[in-house]
Amino acid sequence: MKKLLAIAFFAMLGGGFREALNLLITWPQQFWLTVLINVVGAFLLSIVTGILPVWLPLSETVVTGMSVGLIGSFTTFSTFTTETLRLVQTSHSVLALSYLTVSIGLGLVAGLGGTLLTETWLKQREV
Amino acid sequence: MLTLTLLAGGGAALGALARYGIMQLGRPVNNRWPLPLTTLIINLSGSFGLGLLLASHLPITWQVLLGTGLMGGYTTFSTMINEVVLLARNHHCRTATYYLILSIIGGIGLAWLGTYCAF
Repeated sequence: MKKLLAIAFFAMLGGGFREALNLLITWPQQFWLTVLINVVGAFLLSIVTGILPVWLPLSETVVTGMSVGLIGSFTTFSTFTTETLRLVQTSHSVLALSYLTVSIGLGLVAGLGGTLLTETWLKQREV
Repeated sequence: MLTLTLLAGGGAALGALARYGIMQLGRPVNNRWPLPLTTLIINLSGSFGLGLLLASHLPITWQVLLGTGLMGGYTTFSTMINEVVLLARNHHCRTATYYLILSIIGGIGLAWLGTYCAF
């Protein structure tokens, strides 16, 4: 039960923050903001599950809340797919392909970067 | 602005709980195959849901609560990417590729299908 409350609380922050960013930052091509959000989130996920609980005295409940709730809800997959579809349907094929490639490409680089950074950090701590 | 942020946050809380629930239920299935089936199902169904919502003519508050919030919080990009990275690093490169392609093509396809089911 405590875990569910933590997930709900942190997801509210994550989802709310995503919407607030979308309202505060207005770019000519707004969909690039989703790319930025998703890439940052992909990087942060392994930091939150790997580094944060070692660095700070956080309970498992808080860590689950932050990984599943905060980062999970901050990033979004459905906007990524619907946005790609919208770009295709409005005949912006090149833009759609760029959006898809940059999202996945940078996302993978960020995800791998976060994982490697976490591993290195944990290894150095052991020494 | 505060109202929309709160609506998105509230929707995201429900979405994340649904995602967590499905992940807990799907755990025995996920342990059997390397393919992260639960995240795939979540992201595909969420893409369908958002496609449907965006094509439906809802007032902005409902769009933000159900679309940006519920569906946005239900689906997740970060978990999917990190699962691909993990699969690739554990020498499941083929599964990682299938998973990525299924997520992208399936997600866009289901979002498209969703627009046809709009109310």
